[in-house]
Amino acid sequence: MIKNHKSLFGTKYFMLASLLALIVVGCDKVDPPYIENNPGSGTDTSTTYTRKVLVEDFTGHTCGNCPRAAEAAHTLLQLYGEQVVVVAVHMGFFAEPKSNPDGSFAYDFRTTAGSEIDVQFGIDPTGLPRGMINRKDVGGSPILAYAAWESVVVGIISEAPDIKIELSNSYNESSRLLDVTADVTFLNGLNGTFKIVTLLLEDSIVNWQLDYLATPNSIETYMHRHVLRNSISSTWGDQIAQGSISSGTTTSNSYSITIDNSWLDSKCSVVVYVYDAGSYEVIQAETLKVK
Amino acid sequence: MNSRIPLTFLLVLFLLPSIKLYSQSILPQGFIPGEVHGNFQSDLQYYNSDTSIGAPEVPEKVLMRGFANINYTLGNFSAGLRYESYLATLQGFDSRYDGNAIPYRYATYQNEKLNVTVGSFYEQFGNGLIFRSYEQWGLGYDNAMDGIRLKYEPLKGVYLKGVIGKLRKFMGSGPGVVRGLDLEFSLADMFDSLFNKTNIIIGGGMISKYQSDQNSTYNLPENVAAFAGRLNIISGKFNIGAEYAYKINDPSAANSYIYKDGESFLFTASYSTKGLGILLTAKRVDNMDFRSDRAAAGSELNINYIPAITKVHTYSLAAYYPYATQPLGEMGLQGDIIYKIKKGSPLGGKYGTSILVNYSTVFGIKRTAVNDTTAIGESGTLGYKSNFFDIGDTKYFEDLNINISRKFSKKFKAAVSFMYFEYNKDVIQGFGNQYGTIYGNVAVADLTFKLKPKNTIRVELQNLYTKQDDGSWGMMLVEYTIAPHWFVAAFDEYNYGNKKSNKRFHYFTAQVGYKNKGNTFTLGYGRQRAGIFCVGGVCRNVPASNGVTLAITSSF
Repeated sequence: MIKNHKSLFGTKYFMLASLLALIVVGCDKVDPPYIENNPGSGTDTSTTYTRKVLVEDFTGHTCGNCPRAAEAAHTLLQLYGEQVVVVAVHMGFFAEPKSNPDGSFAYDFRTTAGSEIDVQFGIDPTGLPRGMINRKDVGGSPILAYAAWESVVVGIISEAPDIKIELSNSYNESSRLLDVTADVTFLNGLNGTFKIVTLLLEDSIVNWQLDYLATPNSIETYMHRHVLRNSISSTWGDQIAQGSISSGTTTSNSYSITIDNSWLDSKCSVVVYVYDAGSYEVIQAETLKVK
Repeated sequence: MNSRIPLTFLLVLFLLPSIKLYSQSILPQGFIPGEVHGNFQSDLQYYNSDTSIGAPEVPEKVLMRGFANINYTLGNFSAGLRYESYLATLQGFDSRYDGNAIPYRYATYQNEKLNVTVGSFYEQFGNGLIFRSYEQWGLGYDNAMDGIRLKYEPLKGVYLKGVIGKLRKFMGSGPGVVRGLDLEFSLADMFDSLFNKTNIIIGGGMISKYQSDQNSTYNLPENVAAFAGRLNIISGKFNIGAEYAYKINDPSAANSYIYKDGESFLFTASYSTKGLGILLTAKRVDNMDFRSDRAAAGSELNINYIPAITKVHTYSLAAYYPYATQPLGEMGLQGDIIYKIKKGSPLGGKYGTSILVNYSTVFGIKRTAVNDTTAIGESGTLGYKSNFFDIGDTKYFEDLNINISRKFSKKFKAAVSFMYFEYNKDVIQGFGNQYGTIYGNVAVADLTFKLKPKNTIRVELQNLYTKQDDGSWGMMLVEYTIAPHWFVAAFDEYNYGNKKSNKRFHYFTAQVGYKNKGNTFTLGYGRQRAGIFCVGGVCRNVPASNGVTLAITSSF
């Protein structure tokens, strides 16, 4: 009995030693410089067609931590350039317009499309800021904190593109009528139901924003980037292909919209993305300036 | 809208018999070897829209979250699971729980010295400074480990724990792998003869997490380790404990990617004798936010737990401004004295009187720049320097409260409480410089009248006085209990001091409850106030609500 006990202890002692070794190994002390001198791993898009990723930044003007997420989105654009398409979706409680005596936060940035996306994915109850990267499910949910965006982006943009989206537009400056055509080519054979969505964005809108790191917190001249203005298609888009789709399949969809007079057309752009209707995952995104 | 309310009552009728079936059919005595135990809980709410308090229209009308734990034991073997259902989860909880799943399942084998668990488990090292996985249903918090745990007692009084796994994140798990080991020696158990009324417990643990570096801006450590040592001396009426924890560079979203090492220290000393108890606690925390995903925000994927050293109040208005531990840095002290005045003495009265005094204060830590060119807390640097004993300039929280309770006769007892507090809302909830500090007083009277041996009526009167934030609140509760089965309660919270006179709302709630053999049913109707809650850089709005609630708990 005693002998048996000893040998058991011996086994465990060995196990303890191995576990100790494991833990001591599991400790990386990093020496300066802590910041990597990295020009970004984005591929040169001028010669090869690459995967482009949709970054949806869910935000609101009274969300005091949301400027951090906007900065994270801006960093992604700096690092990965054209491979990243950012859309700032103002939605939920923190985007509600206020009737403050000083007129602050009175502007309504919300859109029907933004509200529908919020309801579909349940974003507002998770709190802001949040984001989705291609609406890709990461560990059980596509809703991510902004610090988690980059690693998902990196994982996607290195993959070869499955489809190609080519955009062209014509814009009449006097009538402010915009026509957009999206030509899609399937580069690989795919299975499923695919839909196309077309959005209108306005960049660099100056208006109020709450920022908990600023003093005072309320900033009157905050620059709102990549603001979703409207969905030119319906929120969930139009079906372009279904079933077993062979490589080389092409589709063409056209949309038109009259740009609101209060929106600065020189700052407007179109964002188009194609997604798998079964999983909601976006498989390619593209953007084009209105003028 | 009102025509839909009977739906809830239909549901009650539907659920009542099903619960009964549940507990009976699972326990056919003598049919299967071994034993099955478990518990069940369901919280259901029917929502009315109420524009005056801002309660929105809920498209589903009825939301429900519930779970059942089912555990099976046969000799040295046990296994179990927890089924969870959120259809959809109640307002105020994270929508990422929505759906049905079995997120918790395990199998355990245990003999005299060895305990092996595969699957899900909850575990803690020491006070939790480097590791604690736990769940709090009421807060919607669960960071259960999924992996393997080994507990071994090689010699009497020597306890070894090894864990490896991933932490739960809603219905999935976080990306990082958490590995750890803890060793504890209980000297009185090891050397019976040497220790009579004294025991010394020495322990130490290590935790390491692995997460790959996919960040192009920073050169991140993929393995981050934390170490902790603890000592506990128990001798007669004294119990003294201390734990120190250290974490190596762990740049994360929570600490804005600074490379400073973290540390925390917790000290407790208590003395207790008949009629008197004294407890002192001191704490220092510096850069100890430790998560299995460095990108995590909110209250997700915490590996460790920094114990709170402020009193958790139970009276609703005293609990209106609760302190929340600041893992990035805080220093605090708490003192607690409980004194019972003897029965029959002139002051103590016929049945005795007890007095409880509690004081706590929490400050930030002092941070200085690492050099002339680096701002304090700048990302991608060592962040700041902080001397272990230097207290910061900002007061986060202070609470002085006294509670006196006395039984006057067989039919009447009363308790009165008074509290003074300072609550730095900007720091505690992460609001920048929006609200500043809230200063307030709370007074509570709690009176219990025994009408008949089984019938009791309890009345609570509370007042929270403050000039800041939403201003003052009053509260009154009346609760009638018919032991052992029934209780009826009604209370009203009234925001009479709100600066905006059109926001001076009443939040009225009425409840009726029935308890029988481990089953409790509580049916209520009322209004709940709205609030914005910020944790870990994420702010959630919990909308006001107005509706019928039904809570069922059952154990078998």
